[in-house]
Amino acid sequence: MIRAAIRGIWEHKLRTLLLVLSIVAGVSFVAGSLIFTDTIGGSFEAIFDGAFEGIDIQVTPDVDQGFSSVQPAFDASVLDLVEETPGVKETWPVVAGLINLTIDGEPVSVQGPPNIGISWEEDPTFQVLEGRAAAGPTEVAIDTVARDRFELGIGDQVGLAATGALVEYTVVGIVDGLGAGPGFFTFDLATATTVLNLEGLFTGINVSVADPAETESVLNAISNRLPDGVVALDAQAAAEEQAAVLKEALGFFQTVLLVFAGISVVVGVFVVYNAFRTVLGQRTRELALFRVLGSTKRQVTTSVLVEATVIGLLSGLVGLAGGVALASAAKFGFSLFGGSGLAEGGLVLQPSTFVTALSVGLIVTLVSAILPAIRASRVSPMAALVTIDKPPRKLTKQIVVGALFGLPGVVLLVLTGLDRIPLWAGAAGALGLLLSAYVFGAVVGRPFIRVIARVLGNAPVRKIATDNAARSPRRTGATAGALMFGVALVVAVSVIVVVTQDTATAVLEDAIASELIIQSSGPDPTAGFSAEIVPIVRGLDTVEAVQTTRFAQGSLNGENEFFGSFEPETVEQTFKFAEVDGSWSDLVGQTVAVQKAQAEELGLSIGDEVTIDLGSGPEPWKVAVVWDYAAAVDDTQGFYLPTSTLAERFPQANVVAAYIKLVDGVDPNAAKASIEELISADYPFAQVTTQDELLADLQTQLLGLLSVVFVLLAMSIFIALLGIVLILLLSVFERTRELGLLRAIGATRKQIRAMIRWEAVFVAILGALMGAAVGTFAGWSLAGSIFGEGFNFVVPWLWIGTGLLSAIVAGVLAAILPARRAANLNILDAIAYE
Amino acid sequence: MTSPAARAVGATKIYGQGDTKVTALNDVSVDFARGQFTAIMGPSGSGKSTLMHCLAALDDLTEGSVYLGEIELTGMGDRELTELRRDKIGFIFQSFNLIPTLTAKENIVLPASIAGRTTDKEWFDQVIEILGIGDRLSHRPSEMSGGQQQRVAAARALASRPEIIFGDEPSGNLDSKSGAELLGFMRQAVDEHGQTIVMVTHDAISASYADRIVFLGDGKIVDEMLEPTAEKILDRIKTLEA
Repeated sequence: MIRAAIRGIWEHKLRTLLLVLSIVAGVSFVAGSLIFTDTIGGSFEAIFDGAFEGIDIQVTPDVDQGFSSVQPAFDASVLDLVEETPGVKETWPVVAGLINLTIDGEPVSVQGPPNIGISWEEDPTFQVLEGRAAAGPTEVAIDTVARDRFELGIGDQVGLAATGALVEYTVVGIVDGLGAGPGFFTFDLATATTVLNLEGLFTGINVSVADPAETESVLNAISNRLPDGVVALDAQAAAEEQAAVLKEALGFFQTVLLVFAGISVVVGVFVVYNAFRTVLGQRTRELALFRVLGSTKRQVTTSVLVEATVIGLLSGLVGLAGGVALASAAKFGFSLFGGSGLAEGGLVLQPSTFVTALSVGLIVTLVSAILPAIRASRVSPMAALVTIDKPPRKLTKQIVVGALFGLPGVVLLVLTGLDRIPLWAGAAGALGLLLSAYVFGAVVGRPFIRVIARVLGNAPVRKIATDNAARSPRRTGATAGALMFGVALVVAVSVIVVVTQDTATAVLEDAIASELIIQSSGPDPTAGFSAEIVPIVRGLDTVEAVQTTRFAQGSLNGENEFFGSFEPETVEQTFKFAEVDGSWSDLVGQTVAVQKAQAEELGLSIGDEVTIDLGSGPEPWKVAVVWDYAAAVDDTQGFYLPTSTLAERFPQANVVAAYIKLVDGVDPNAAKASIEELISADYPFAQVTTQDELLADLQTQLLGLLSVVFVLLAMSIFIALLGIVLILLLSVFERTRELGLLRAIGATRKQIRAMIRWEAVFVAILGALMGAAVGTFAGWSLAGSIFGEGFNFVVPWLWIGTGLLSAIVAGVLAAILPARRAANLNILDAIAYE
Repeated sequence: MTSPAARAVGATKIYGQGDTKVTALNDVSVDFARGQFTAIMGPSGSGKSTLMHCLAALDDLTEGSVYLGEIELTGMGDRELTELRRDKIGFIFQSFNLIPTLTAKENIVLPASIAGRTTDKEWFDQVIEILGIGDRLSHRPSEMSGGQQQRVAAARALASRPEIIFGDEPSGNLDSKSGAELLGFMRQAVDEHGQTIVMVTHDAISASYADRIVFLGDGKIVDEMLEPTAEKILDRIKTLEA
């Protein structure tokens, strides 16, 4: 029997190929994720091992700082405290902050980590690779990341600006930095201090100790002398911390790959299960013959599992190759996100990856085959002798199983949508509902297809196609169900995106009264633009009011918090509020304005005190205003400080956004042009946008995000398509005689092709509509959880339509091969076929 | 005199090449007159099925030509042959005549509906009446007996008023009573409505319903008989085999 199983694989090469392909994607994602992690992970250790050699201790502000936020600073007097500590050999003060650049006068916009401007006076932080260190107000030395990312070399000109106007610098050296993450632009200390507006402040001090064995005691000695808000760290620990930040980016790639691995594996399992079920159903007589000839039930099961094993191993091997390809693609993607130094060298293929890939292939196939195999072993030997006309089986089991998964799924989703339970519970609910819909496909499939057929009208061939699609409800349901997964995910994602867009539109239209907004055009919006622009804009007679916002990182009542800022003088002219408790004019000095939602959460009201630490130690701040926007703004930043206070505390911080209220009757586009004329030469990173442009930008961004998700989800839809092809091929094989009869009594080849095509389209529409229904519901639930209760739900009709249309196209494509087979059957063979 | 309903001229059919070459039909020329019920008889491998398949536009000849009325089939493309089968030929096969998902009525009107035509209501009712399947129209094949299924197949063949009906052992799978009924209906269609029928069979009793019998052996016509009876046929077969 085992030999018969192996021969079966060989004789049905096309079927085997399609089965293998359905599993390959899942295996590829798993293998790719492992290879990628091993490859990048290896180079991590190497890079951060060598970093900060020669530096033993780093003194930094005590704030949890990523690369992309405002770098806090401390008073320059700290340097003396450190220098005077016994055991300290050398000290190098450092100033660093975000920086924007232009090349050939054009602002450069990059994805990924931002660029850092930093002082460097030949301390061990960097080593010169080429040229020399920067000296004087027009020179810069760049690290290898910046060199590679912007294709810069010695002698090139680059425009740089942080808080001031743009200045052109000449690249005089290439230095060896981390080789990954942000790009570094190094100046001498005086230049960096000017560029970053950090007069009298440092953002860090690098320290070397006389005796490295004494590092710990020196560290403690320094710590004891430091004021609040400044800490001393072991340099090695600091390096590890930076590595952790980059590893987060790596983790993101891995998570994305694994999520898609999961989706592909699930869809693959359904496709293979369905195919095995159908094939074994068709082989009933053959299996029964084996039973007549004395095969045990166990032997029948084994023969099916042997076939599954071979297919699983094949898929594992092909998937491994796919994984290598995916890992190279991910590596390339990662290098674009600032990890060029990490993405050097070849891919690392560990033996464990090999084993995992083969195991995934094997397990997926065996799991898919086990139920059909057991059912096959139950075939009665009698089936070999007589044709047993099985009455159509009741679908009770489907209804029970569907309800078992579906009801809890619906409950979880509803609760998530109402924001009563966490998001992951909703995700579990969505999975339950998908499984339930997959099983229910068999129940709703038949009546559903009849309805579609009625809508389309019963043209002669279409009538037969309808009957064929409705003939094996379980098979049709399972085939459509595989397609449903991908469509449901696409629709759910698009619900989130459409709601985001809708919410953002509402914010712009209902919460913001200003006609123009200035933002940073750089890669990181929090990098902002120079505050020097503000007085220029204020001076225009077309401008009625300007409101500026700055950001700061710190903590509130001990929790990390990101703060925004308001200017109390103009806030009412530039924003629309539904509710304001307290008076904006009180928002001065050490006071905070709290958004209503956050105020309710913390039980805050006017006059209460909160503890805020902005890097110089915890201080009491008074709640001056509690407000609510006129629109349902999803603003996670609920705490706003007076802009003037922030500007004082963080002179190195840029303005993040400026809202410009124009004098009544002034054309926004004309006003925009006149502002641009004044500022664009010196401040190229300040981008003036009208509300319309902002909306259009947002849409472009969301579409970009959506397209990435869609490309990856297309994978699962592709697997489902393979499922349709497989099942149609098997159906054509099963209905050879019918097809022959139809041809004999006068159906043309074209009609036969159309018949198969219609069947595919029916199944595809069924899958797409089930997917759209589940996806919309899941999307509503997830959006409810993300945006909170009372969000404005939008059905993504456009995307549902697109999904439906793609499904129809997909059905037509899937039908090509089976339709050709059916149409080209030899009539005489077909009608003589037993 | 009108032309025959179907005609083969020098029909030769060779399968395979070299050592595996089999001559199924060897220079066969035969006419089938309109309004006549003809049976083609012969032992297995005599070429009787091949001859029918070629006449019925299901298979093509190696040499020679076949005509359906005035139309020459030789050299026609698949599309033309298909439309010819659809519009001018009716079929009754030994088994599996009906599409399992369609009702009896849908099966009967299938050739017409494939062609995008409606069936003549009066004639349809008459055919149903003749075959006595009026109460079975909404049933599916799996809900009918073998005899009923073959009667539905006969109804389908008659419903489109084809120029000729080909039967391939139409009663081969039926018990003798159902078989006799079916052949009786076919006989009636010839007598009362002038239908032309050509039927392949190896059964003498079935063949005795025909007006004329053509005997084939080794790909050639070996004999003919008019106004046959079962006894005459059996005698003739014995002689031919001797």
